[in-house]
Amino acid sequence: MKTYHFLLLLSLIAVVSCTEDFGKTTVTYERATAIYGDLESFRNQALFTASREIIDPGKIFIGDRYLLIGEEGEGIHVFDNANPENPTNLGFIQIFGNREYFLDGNDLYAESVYDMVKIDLTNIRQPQLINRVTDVFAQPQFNDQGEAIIGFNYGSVTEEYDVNDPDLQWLGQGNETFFFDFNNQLIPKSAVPTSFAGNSSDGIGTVNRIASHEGFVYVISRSELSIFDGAGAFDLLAKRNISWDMETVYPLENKLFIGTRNSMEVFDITNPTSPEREGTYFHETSCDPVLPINASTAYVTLRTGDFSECPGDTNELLVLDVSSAWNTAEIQSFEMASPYGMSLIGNRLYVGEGANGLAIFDASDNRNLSLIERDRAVEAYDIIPHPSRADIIFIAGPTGFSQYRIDEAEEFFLISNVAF
Amino acid sequence: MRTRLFIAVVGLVLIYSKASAQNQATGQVVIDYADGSLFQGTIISADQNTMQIRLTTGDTISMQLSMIKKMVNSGDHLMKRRGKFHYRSGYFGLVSVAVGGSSTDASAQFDAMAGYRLTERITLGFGIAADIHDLTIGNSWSTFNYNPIYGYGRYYLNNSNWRLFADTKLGYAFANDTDFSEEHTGGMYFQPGFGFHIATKGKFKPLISLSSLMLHTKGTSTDFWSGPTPITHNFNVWLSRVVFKIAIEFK
Repeated sequence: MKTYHFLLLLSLIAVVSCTEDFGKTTVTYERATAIYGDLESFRNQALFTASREIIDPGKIFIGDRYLLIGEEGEGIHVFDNANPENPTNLGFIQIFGNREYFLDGNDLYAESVYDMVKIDLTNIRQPQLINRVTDVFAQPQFNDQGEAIIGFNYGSVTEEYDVNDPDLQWLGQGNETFFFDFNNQLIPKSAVPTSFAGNSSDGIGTVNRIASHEGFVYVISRSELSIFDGAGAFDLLAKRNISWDMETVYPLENKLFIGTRNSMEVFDITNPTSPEREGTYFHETSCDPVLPINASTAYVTLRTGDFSECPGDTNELLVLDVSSAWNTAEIQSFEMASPYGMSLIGNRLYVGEGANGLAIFDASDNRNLSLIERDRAVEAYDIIPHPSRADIIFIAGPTGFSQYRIDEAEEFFLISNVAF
Repeated sequence: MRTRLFIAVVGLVLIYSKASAQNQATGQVVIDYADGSLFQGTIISADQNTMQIRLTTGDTISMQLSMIKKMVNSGDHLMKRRGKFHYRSGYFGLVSVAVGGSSTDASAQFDAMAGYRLTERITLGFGIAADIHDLTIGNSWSTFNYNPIYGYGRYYLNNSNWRLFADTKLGYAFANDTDFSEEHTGGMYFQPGFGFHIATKGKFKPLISLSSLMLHTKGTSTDFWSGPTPITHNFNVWLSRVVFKIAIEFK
């Protein structure tokens, strides 16, 4: 073979041996950056401090006299609502990292990053810590300075990579966006964009991750159910990995209703520390508060939206027959705009649809709802009745927490607003 | 009788074309004889029953026309042993299938091509292909389809039974699909390689080759599954794949 033929062949073999794509990729993602802090100092901070401005409102509790409004990651604002027309800010309960809490009588149950705390609010100006169960949800992770991860900052990042950069694999495994499985174990931020009702002294809201029932406290993270001794020393009794993408918990009689992103699951809690799955009703992936009405009927709202935490195109209110947990069946479905929380007040079902207003259903027959009206003047994310006054209703909206008086014609009249 | 007459006419035409074209190759024939022998030479004369041929060895023989099974113009053929040959000239078609990929991604290619043998060593053509290429960026995995349209050149490095050749394609690959989470553009397309063209007795000649496929593409892909929030890639890459191709070329 001639020399130039040989060289040509050699160069072709060299070309053919290149088996890797090359180029650049510009990657855009939400990066989770760990925040470190002195965990012990946070755990030992003063429990009650002076009132402060509401910056990032979270969960709301409505009592006969007091209103509690969560401050995301910080604690709980305390309002005296003796006069609903003029609620007064009394002070602030500091619970580091808190998002979710639940009030049962004078007992406040709250999560605090890794921990669960029980606080006695008999004297609301002097709350007393009953017990702190540490490291319930995850074992703290520390940096070289001995500081623990106490949260994450999330921010959109755009970076350019070589397509063969090994860091892309690292990124693609969710390590920058999710930081291992760590954040998955903690109580996540609520999918409701503004404040929402936890419970009242009269009832339980539909978007809780903590619920107290017959002396036991149930807490759900994304995948684990933690069960505490609420009536006693507040010890952790059990942890169960029962589902995935859990969002809401609602106890009723001897059942625990769990709302996940694609199902409503029913557990038998006859043995409170050992829930047994009775049935699962699967639905489109969505954010879905569950409101059981009685042992045979439950309402579920399914909410999705582009670029939301619940992507998809399903927005519905479902009426479900749960009399047989083995065979949960759909009775009715209503197309909605963006359903968040809901509340049954008398024979009316109120469904907050955020920027799309408030939908009101006739629930005289709670298995045969009919839409009465949609009030787009009220921007409502959650609705909860006053525990002792039938003429007052609370509505959580994007700009504040409002109290309305309802007249006999079911017209709403704004009487006060705690601005956010 | 009719066959013999035809062979005689062909022989005379070949003699004439040799004289007129003064082309050494013209007039050269390959004769497949009834006893299985194969002769290559130049036709000197012919009548209704016999043909005189000067073989490439220098000998002159006389053949019975009735014993000639097949006679072809070897000026168009590059004859090999046992009657196998390569074509030296003329138009051709080609279809092929190729599979391969990179260290992480798979590729497949289906080709249809038409061409012309410009000289004994150089072949030119043009074609269209249907390409399927996986593309993995980080943990984002996509499958892209393209339709390259290209010009083609092939150069033979020898005249063996298995002719070694170097070839290349150069053209533009058109993107032809998108789905909801990804999109891509077409781009320049280049595919140098080498292989073997295998002589046969018939019109269909197989080729095997190894080539480096280079295709420029840009686009976006979104990874929804790596974490709680999607990861979006805006990529600008050259796909660089090695593909093994099996082809059939026909006259």
